[in-house]
Amino acid sequence: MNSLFNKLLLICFYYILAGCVVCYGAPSTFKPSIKKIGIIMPIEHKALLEISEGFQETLKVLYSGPIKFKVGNAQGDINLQRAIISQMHDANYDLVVPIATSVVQMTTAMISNQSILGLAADVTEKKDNLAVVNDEIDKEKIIAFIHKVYPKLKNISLVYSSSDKIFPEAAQVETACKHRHIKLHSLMIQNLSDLYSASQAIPQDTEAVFILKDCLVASGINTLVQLTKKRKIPLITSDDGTVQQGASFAVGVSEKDIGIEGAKLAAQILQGVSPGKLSMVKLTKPTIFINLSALKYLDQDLAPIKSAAKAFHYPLVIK
Amino acid sequence: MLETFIAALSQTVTFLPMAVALYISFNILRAIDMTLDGSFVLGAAIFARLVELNVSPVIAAISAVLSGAIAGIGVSIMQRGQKIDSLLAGVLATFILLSGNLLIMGRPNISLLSQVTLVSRAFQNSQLLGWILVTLLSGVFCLIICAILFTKLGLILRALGDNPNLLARRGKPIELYRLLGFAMTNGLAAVSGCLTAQTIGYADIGMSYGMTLTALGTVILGKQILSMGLSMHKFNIGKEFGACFIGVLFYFFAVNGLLRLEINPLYLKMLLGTILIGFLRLAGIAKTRGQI
Repeated sequence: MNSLFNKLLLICFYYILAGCVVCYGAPSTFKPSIKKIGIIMPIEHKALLEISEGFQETLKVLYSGPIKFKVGNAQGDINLQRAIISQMHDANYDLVVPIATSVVQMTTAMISNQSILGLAADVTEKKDNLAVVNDEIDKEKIIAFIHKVYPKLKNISLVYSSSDKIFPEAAQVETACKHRHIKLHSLMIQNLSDLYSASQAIPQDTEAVFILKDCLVASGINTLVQLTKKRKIPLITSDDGTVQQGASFAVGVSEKDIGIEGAKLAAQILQGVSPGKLSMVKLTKPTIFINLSALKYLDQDLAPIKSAAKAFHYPLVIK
Repeated sequence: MLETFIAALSQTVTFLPMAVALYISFNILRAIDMTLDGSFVLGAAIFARLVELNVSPVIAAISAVLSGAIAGIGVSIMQRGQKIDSLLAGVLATFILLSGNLLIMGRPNISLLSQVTLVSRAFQNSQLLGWILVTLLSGVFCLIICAILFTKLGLILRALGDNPNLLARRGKPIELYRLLGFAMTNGLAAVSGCLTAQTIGYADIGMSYGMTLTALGTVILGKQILSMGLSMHKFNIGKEFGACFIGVLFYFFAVNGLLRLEINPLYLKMLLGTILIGFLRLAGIAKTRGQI
């Protein structure tokens, strides 16, 4: 019985091995005219998926030729991320689209002869083969909006992670709050498991909880939703995904818009424009995403948010 | 096929010091040193920070290796007199290093794209030259450690892992040898972090995610693969080092190969795990046949 099992295992193994060899030897399925575009995501996350979807949908409309997309998800593994970039490099993709700062940095370090379009990245280095869409909204604008909605706001808590993108943004929030004489209580987490403890450490006199566009904190948003519901204080976020999950309202860029702006650049690159000649696109105008049921639960009127949005000329999206 | 092999080889050379470090800790010192994850980032963090402060890349690299060794010494001191279990000490040291690395870097990510590093000039000339230099650096450190394991110190380190009580009864300062062992392993992990940061263009606080587990898997895998053709019963540093190299190369070859077969990365680890189970079973079968 054991011998039969071993034989079967051997047959299966050789079958897989033969399959691999055949696949390597087979000619490429891509026709030469098809543009190959590789999208690299560092981790599985709704916000990143929306960026990718917005990019793909818009580029299909803007570029008339045939396009083939491949999305590589590194699942938070740096080795896998390297392998994905290396594969896209060796397969001569016409455009490599890394999402998030660290992925753009790695791609730029590994690829020098193919076009790169970085999305949602804060990269200042100039390279001939690199174009960037930066989604960082001035935190002063966000705090100004929150202050307009809650003019009597004195204490606010910020929960943030130690990720590359968020860390400097948290410092900007602190400065913006200082300018407006708002006392900011900052809580940094390094792992998702820290979030519960951090949420319990939010002071009792806090009048609102604020989070940035932070993948790690957004993953555990339910913890903060429960806490803010219990204390009857608003949870203000920076992306529409968290509003759908229970936050009161968000001041931020729509993830899809990042993809759309990226697609506009990608269309130019595919038509032959050098990425280095395209100026960095900065998304500066926030959208206000509102969760009506969450506001109702807090007995909060929609009017102050509406009037603040009108004053700042920010578009409103009611969920 | 050649492209896959080259991609796997380039990942292997930067990861190899980490695998050798794990091998020494797991197979020689008989301790699973979780600090290696933290030391990996520490090496990258110290190097990136110093280079950013316009310190010479050579001094930055030496400081990175020494900082890893110091982290290892710290863990060894924590375990002094068996007061804290080695696994727990490693976990605690990793916690401390999480904050420590952030303090060193000042922010979670430092870009090295526009900085002069040990290998940047070579990479500017040609990719091949760059990778030859990285391979040399990685190989030199691994060979130094292998040479140390050839000496009497290496013999004592193996004895420490096998039977520390016997060593203590013979009047050997076991705490000092443990300290040296952990300094070596964590120094190697820092070398790996330092080289990785230079080849990927940044140092990041989260860059060590899952590194220890991957290294552990590759070391065991390498030993199993090598045991299909060679006897691994007697300690032979050449074979042990070869096992680490083959394990790491095989792992990265499998990852790169599966990606090139257009496998969705979402299912990649599941498939990779299945293939590795198949290999390990085959190694077991070959071993049994050899014994018969």
